[in-house]
Amino acid sequence: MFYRIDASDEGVVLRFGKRGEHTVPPGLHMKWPWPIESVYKVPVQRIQSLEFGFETTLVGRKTLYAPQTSDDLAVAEMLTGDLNLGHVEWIVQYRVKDPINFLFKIGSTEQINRRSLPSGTRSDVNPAVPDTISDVSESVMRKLVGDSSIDSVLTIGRERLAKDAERLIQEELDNFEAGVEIITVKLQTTSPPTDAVQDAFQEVNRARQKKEQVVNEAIGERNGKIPAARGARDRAIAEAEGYQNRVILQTMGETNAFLARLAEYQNAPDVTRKRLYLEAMEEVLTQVGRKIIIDESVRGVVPLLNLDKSGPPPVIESGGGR
Amino acid sequence: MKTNKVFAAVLLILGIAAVVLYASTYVVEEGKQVIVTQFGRPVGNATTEAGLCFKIPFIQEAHFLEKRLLPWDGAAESMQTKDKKRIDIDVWARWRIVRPETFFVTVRTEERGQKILDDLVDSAVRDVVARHNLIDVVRKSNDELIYESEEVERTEADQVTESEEVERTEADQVTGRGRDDVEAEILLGVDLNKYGMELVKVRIKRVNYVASVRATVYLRMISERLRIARLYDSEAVEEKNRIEGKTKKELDQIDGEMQQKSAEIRGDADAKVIELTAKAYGQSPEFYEFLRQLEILKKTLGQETRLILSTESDLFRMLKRPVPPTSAPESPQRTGP
Repeated sequence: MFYRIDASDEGVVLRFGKRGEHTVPPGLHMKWPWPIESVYKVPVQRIQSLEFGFETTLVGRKTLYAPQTSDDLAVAEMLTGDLNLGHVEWIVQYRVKDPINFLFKIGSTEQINRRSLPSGTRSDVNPAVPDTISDVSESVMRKLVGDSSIDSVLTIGRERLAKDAERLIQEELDNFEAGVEIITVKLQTTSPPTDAVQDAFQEVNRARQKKEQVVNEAIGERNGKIPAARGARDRAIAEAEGYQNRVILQTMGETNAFLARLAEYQNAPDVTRKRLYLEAMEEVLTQVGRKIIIDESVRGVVPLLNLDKSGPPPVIESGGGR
Repeated sequence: MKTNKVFAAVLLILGIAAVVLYASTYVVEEGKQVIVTQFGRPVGNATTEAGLCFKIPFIQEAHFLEKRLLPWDGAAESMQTKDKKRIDIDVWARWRIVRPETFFVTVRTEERGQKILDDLVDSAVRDVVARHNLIDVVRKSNDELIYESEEVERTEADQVTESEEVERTEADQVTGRGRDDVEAEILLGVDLNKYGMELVKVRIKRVNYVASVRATVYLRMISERLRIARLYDSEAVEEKNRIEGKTKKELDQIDGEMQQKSAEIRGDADAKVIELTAKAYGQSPEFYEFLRQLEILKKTLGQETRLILSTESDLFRMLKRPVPPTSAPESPQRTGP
């Protein structure tokens, strides 16, 4: 009797229930008919996937997910190390590593007392194994989450969590000689347990963002003021320095001029003094608008003007109106 | 006719032979083990090796038992921890039949083996959980938990009160290896020896607060988060005020520097002016005064000024008397061309 092993499979032939030493590679083979020989076809190449906390209903261009049942929620909800609750969804991918262990190390009570399994192809040759992977990964994930803070589960620790889970699940399955290899463990959604709690987490994010914004604004305002003030300061100082230079130079000019005049004046004080006086008077009297010159003998005309003590000398009155 | 009879007889014999053959053999598949009974009583040891075996037809009967690891999954049970917290706990186990002879007599089928586990594991779990605090069931070490921001931990420290049921037991440290120990104790607490069974592994699958407590846990988590959010909010104001204060301080500092420096420089300049003028004009204060007086006269008398002068003044005496005999007493100078 001929039988075929698909490219992704390996065969395990049982003769009167006893397995052969080697597995059968893909291709066309011959065997004795049942009940002498029977064959299990184990998909060793195919990577299979288990989902925890959610369920994919339709795989395609746009994958559909089943609405979460209370059972999914029970799988996903777990206690964290700080006794908070987290919602963790994840997947486990595995592959059959050793078809013989895969078939004959882990059993389930549902298959009992069957003398022989039909040799037909079944995608799930030993359903007890995925069942065990599922149990193991649930307890491993909970154990890891149970030793993490809610923060690590939600954000910072996800990668680490998945890596540790992969290692621990593999260890446990190797203890059971399950004959499978864990390809990867990936965390999907990790979130706070309910929408209300999720909102509170969002509120923290909002507050954190808001804080950054407020601080940035304050720094911005500061940046807008300080350099301007420094500029104003430097400007005022420069102006003061300018003033300093100017008045000193000006004073030096004036004093030097004075000293020069003084030197010459001292050569002939009397005549210089007179000259200066007269020149000044000339200038003054030229520019004065109205001049009234009164004779001493008619001084009675202006009795009100006699404000000066020194009777006879000239009386100077400024301002008009008379 | 005769050949027909012979044919029928041969067929019959072959048929009988097939039935006898079938009844006198049994196939032990990999992963299975077989107990042979005679009139209901087990005969000899179990066959644990896979292959074709023989028995006395019709008298002896073959019973197939699993040799492989078998699953057991308990239902979620509600129970109380040592620190009086009500939790739902769900465990799974893996077991196998190690002494099929004993197993066959005391338990007989795998289904009944499961039932025995239901009873024994469940009670062991209750015993062990009652001896441990919740934290032991949840955690497996006392390693420091890592938080995203130190704020969280900081507010954790000043946490004072909590609702009673979900009271935080930060002081309660994990004893030993926590969850790993709990699982190991459950395993030890289940004695399957007399059933010919072996419990290979017990693992806690799920632990959670009972439903009524979960609601309060959600509320606590919300309040905890809001507390942290408020902290960020007020830290924002804190930081803002700090920056604004610092800005104000620096502005004042800059302004002060400005006032100080420019006043100093101007004062310096004025001092220098005083020094220079004092030195120069000090050489002849009288001449300086004279010059300044003349200047003041020039500056103060202008187009708008009305001046009433006497003919007795030095300047205009000449209007009356052409000869200048004497000088006027008030002015320090004399007229004269």
